[in-house]
Amino acid sequence: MDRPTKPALRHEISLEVLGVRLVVRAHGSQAYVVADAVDRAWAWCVSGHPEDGRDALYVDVLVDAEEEIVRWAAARGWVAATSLEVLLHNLSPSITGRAIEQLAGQALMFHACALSEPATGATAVMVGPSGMGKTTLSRQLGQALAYVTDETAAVDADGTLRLFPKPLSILGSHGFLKEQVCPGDLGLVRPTLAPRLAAVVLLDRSPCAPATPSVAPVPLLSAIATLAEQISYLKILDQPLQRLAGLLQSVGGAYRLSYRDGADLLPVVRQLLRGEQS
Amino acid sequence: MPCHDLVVDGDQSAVYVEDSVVVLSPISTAVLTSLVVDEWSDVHDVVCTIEAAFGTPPEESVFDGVCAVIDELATTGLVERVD
Repeated sequence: MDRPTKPALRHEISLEVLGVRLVVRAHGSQAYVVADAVDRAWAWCVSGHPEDGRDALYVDVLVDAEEEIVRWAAARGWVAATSLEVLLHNLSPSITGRAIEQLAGQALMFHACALSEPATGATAVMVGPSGMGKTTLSRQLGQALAYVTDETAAVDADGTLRLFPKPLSILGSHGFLKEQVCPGDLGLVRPTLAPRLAAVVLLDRSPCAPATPSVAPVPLLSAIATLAEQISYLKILDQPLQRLAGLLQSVGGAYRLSYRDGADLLPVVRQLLRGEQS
Repeated sequence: MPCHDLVVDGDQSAVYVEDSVVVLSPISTAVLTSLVVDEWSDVHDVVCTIEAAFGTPPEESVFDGVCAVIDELATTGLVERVD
């Protein structure tokens, strides 16, 4: 097909995603509207220092009512859609994926939500597969604990835990589409201290679980085997299992948290953050 | 050996092989760690190592037991066996 006229207008939003500088470039006649929506949803990831000299990753986005234009943009690797809602829905995994790719081989990247004690920065990384309720848990615990992420918790070799307070994906009024909601709009607590890994938790939610949540230590090798399935790009790390073992040992091992309803978990998680289970 | 990494904890181990992590029993761990990486090992040498570590069971052959473990490790791709 003939190449459509390139959408000319462009607005940029500079984000800090898992410590990676990432610039969202909105193109086309709706560039301003798109950039404004990205800016609002990703407000907690907007970089305070957009021109700090670091190389940036770029994600190009476009909303256009003409499907031909959208196909043209998608063929160039842009995130493109005919509506803003679809674009925002697709943008979140795209941004996460780009940042994770960038950190492959550097950080242990858990499929996890993470929340920290606002006064100390002590952070629980709570690991679980999709459907385990990480976003719901983030909304519930994030009213009292600081929201670090509901998606990916990345830990560097020196133990540094990277912030990723992305918008939360919440089923809304658009059918299958999840709305991308800024954590601030949900009343979540914003971290003011650098998060410090204090606990690694394996989430085990079940409607059959006892009403009272329970915490149990997980033997090291069993924890490694379970966690390995929830870590991105584990294989390409140097000595991945030894690194994971070292991380677990540094926080007193992993715990399995069995629960029915996340609303009951705040006291339990706070105990873990104080190290009272070890 | 297509093993990306190995962690030993007590008498057990976790091995990252292909795309998954497998937790090995004490005897499997002992067999695996007795093998010399990138060189062929004689099964009888492995049997001696295992006998020294675990003793001789009253009614079973250590040789057969070690061979069974090696076969199991071979099915996960951790070791290669030639007869």
